[in-house]
Amino acid sequence: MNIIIKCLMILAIMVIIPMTFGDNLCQLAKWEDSLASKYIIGNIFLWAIFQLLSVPMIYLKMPFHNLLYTYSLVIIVLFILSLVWLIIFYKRNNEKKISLKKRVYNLFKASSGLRKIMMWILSLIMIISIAFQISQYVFLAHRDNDDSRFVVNACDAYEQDAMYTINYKSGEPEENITVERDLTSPWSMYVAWQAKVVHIYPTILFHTVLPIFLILMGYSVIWMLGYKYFKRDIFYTIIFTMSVSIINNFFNLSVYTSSTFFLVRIWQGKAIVAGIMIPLLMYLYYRIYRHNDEIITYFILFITNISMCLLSGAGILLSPIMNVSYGISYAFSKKKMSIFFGMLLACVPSVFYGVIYIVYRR
Amino acid sequence: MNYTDVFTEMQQYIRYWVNGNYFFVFIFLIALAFIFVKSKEKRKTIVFPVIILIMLIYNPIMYKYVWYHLINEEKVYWRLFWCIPFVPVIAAAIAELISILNDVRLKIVVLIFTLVLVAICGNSLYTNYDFYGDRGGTPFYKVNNFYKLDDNIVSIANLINDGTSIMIPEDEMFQLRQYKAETKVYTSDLLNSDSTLNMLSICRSAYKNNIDDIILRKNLLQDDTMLKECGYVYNQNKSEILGESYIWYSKKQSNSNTLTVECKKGFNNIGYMILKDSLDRFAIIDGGGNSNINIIHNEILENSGVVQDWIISGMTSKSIYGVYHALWSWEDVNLIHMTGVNYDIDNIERFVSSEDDNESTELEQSCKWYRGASWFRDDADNNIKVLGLDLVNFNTIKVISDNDSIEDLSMVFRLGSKENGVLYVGDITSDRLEEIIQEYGDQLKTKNLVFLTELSNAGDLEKISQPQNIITLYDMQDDEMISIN
Repeated sequence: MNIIIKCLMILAIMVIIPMTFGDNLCQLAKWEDSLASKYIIGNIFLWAIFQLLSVPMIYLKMPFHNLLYTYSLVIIVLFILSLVWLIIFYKRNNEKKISLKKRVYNLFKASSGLRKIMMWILSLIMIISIAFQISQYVFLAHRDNDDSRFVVNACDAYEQDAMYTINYKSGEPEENITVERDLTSPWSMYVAWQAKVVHIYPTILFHTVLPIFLILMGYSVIWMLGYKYFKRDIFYTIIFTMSVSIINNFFNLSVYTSSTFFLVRIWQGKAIVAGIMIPLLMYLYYRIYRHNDEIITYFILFITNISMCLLSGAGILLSPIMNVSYGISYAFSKKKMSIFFGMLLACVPSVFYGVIYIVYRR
Repeated sequence: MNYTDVFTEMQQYIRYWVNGNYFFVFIFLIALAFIFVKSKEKRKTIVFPVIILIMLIYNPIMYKYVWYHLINEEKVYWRLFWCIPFVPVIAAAIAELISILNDVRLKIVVLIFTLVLVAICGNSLYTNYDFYGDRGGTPFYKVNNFYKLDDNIVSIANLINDGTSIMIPEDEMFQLRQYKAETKVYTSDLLNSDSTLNMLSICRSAYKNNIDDIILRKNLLQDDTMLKECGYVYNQNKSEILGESYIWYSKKQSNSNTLTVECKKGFNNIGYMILKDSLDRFAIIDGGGNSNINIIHNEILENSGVVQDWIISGMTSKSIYGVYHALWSWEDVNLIHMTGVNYDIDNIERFVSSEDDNESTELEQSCKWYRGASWFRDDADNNIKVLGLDLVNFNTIKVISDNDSIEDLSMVFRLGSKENGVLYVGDITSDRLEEIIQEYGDQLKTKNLVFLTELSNAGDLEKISQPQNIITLYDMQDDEMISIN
């Protein structure tokens, strides 16, 4: 496939489709008009649907192409429906929409003098810092032994149409799923799906293409979080995001910290949990704290939970721990037990997939 | 597990996770305290939930009853620490600190100061990456491909023919299948050796897994004699393409699946056999218990140029290698009787302990058999597996006599293939042969019968084994050789 078409396909499945879904969901949730939140929520939605479809198919040891076609079909149908929705409500939405140029202008209009200069400089530092981190992924290589499973599983699906039924070490076919926890966290299959659609070998997608989008996604979440924490004050949001991007470079106490995972092997599901999903949960919790009547945020927390299950076994475990901790704290702070129960309800996917994993393992 | 152990284990995890650097944790706690004091809202939205998280995660009771069972199996308790938002909390505290300052210049100074402080207390990812205890440098390196794999691996993968199976060191294997997933790869820790390679084990693994190509790190290979004996040839073209790092061996091509048995008369009228397959892999089998065994071995070595490890005899512990070689090389080998009271068990155990885990178990079993033959008769097993082959109907209690005289050290075995077979009775005595005939009866049927020495009851054996071809090594001329295909 021509390189331009491949690039367009990457743009379609990694930007346009998630943004379209995100746009609809954010409208539905009546969230503020933010590119970052649309991008994040759209991706979370895509991952959650994939998780719902893939687990039963992997359990039934279906060939990969069944999942490829089914999921693609579902996404196409939903994408068409989203477009129809956007077109029907175009006028109404268009009134609220703000152009990108206006957005950038708005960011800085409130400031003046030295503060404005400082904002520009800090923004530049932030952009350079993030661009540097992305460039490491794009232009250099990092070898990680876990790729022998995650990446190879995707390659086996891509080349041999098998979902976890080929021994990732030897390449020999096996009767059962080679590693049980992959049944409930099939992130590799999602990347294999992307690889098939854009016609790029999964290893290239994992190591070169995905990090660009995932690092941006991670800092988008940090931006959203800062924007909320600092009451829409762009100055402090920039300081917050820039500080996170700098501190990440130094939170490499061992190879096991969340920052090291984020900056060294972001293509792996567990690194996405550590670097993107946990800050996203914090953002959703904050929204719940501020607008605890917003039922749709609980729903988004619910689908975030499903997509965390897709990413890694760590995602299955960590999201309930966080939901419970924040739920207890917020329920007491607000004196409203419904917050706790709402957040507890959002743990249902983790419990469901956790039980499937335990039962299957036995 | 008592609570002291629990606490110690949790401490170890923390130390492991922060790598002994508690400054960063200290900064985090200060940041948390600062947010607590500074912002009433963030106290509720950030500080309280984080405290609950810490209490939940760093909790001996929870560790003992929940975390240990959920996450400790893989020793990844440290993943729970990801929930604690170290970086966002410190960044939020910095932003909060700056928000209380009015002067923009002061804000800049404080921002720079705090970030430098964090950098000093932390550890730079791009200049001091921790390669599992070995610090220094960056985690990234330059390659010339978009797969982001070592360029050597891409070269190797491009040289692999479709449908072939490869044996390659473990580290290389991890990357190879990321480039070419359809490749059947076999690896072993044996190939990653830091010093020299255990060629015997590598050859055995290659044979068992039907490997087409063996790729080794050039600097680790000292001697390829055994590889060649095992049917692999140096692949010059591919090795030259790979340059200095790797060396490539490919399996000799052969369409036939025949076994040749060459019978020869050796020193002191004691005959021996050389077993060869179509790839010229061979084992040498002599008569076993005779006092001149070393002389015979030397004679064989001179004649054939093989290493002593491949010689089967009923006498020395070295013979175990030869037995295995015979067992790998031909299917359906029944070792009917191999006495071995004089086996050097220590040597055998040393040999066994050098194997990788999987094979060790199998070899362990075979060693029990050897032991059983000599010392542990009560544990004797009638169906013993050696490298996946059944050694059927071997009964140590009945076959082995207490007499460890020199005559009792003979080896008697039958090599069987689908249509052909050789029954070899070595230099067994007439009495022992009688016992064996009684014991095995019809199982001794064979197409070829080989006698090493003259036996008074040879006729009885001929009757029961119904051979089409009888070879009496003791009657042969010195330079005569008989081949059985």
